[in-house]
Amino acid sequence: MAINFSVNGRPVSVNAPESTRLLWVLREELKLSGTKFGCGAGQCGACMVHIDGERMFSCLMPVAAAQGKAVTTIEGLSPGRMNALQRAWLAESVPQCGYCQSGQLMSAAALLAANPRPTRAEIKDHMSANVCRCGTYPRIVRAIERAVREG
Amino acid sequence: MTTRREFMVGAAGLTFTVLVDGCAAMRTEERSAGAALASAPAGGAKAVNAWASLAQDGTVYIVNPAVEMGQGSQTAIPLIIAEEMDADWSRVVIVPAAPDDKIYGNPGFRGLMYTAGSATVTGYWDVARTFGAQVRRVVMENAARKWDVPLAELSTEPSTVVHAKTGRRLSYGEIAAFAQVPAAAPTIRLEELKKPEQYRLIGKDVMRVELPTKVNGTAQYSIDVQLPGMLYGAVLRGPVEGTSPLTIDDAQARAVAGVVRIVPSARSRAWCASCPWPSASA
Repeated sequence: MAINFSVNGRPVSVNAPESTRLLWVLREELKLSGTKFGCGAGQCGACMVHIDGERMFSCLMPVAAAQGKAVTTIEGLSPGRMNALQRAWLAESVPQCGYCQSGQLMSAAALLAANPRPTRAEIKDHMSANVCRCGTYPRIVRAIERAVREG
Repeated sequence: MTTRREFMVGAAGLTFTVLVDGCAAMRTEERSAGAALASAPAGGAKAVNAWASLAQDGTVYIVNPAVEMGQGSQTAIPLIIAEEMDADWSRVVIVPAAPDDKIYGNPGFRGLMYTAGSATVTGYWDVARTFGAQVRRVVMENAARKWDVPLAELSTEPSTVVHAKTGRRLSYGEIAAFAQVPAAAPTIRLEELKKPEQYRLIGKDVMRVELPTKVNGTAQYSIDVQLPGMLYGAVLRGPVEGTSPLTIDDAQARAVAGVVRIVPSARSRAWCASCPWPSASA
């Protein structure tokens, strides 16, 4: 059965078993490989995407649950130019290996959309859903604060 | 360390092949250098060779022999070469090296193309600086011949040779158009290399070249590589170190669509499937 939703503003129709996780549809069928597979269990946040503007672990979400919804991936976060968060990420040299950073940015973008001026405590609490093996946490916090400051 | 260089004139610019004798890591044969050249990207304008090339449009291609794991190797080694070349960093395009230990092996890591142990920048340090300086010397010698002035009267600014006495200037790209290349490389002694206070790039805050790709999802990782007909594997290990399965019931795993084969081993089971989702779920 076809499952219809939009990805980064474009309508897609997917034929996949309903329980297939959205992550693999994005990566394998739609070739949007910026969203990463980390733990497959909703514990690391490397797979984070937005569903109707709210962050979601795409490694857990059955593709059928995306029916009719608007999915945004890192590729669709700010197409063609860097947004304030991405510019701040570069200014603070946040990524080391970078594998988790798509998920980090998607989480941070969801935070600022809901709370444009978060406190440091709110940033740390919100970003605790995302794990970074390289330990870039202090830079992530600084980058979010910079994005808030510099817009 | 004695060195020997081969220079070749490419279709659209100068290409430099580094052949270093007396250093196990870099010892090579003519044919492996030739193979490296042959494997360079086609298309005329990109006359990329084993280590560096200068295109007439001013683009400077520099090869990166190391793996980027986030510590900046991909930026650091080409930057060291560019420093001694006095190349304009904004015009440098970094090209990944072909897998060939004989040409690109790390002298600091038993001659292997191995990026580990904090041995990359230190291992390539002298080689990269020396090679960059040799490219600069050849470019300057060509300018000296063109202007018929002594080499000692010339200096360089980024990607430009300058004759201060007459105010004449030639860009590396302009020189690439007419340059003749010597059969033997100029000898550069380590004491002839730049002093730290002369550095334009080393020690400065230069952004790692791969960073933009890591904030917009375009950086390519091993998991992102797709080849025709490739299978995906997954391994299920015992939950405790050293344990082995007593029995294996793989009926459920076999029932998952896309599963191609289940491979038992003493300590684990591995799946091969036609797409990663069954592998992750089986």
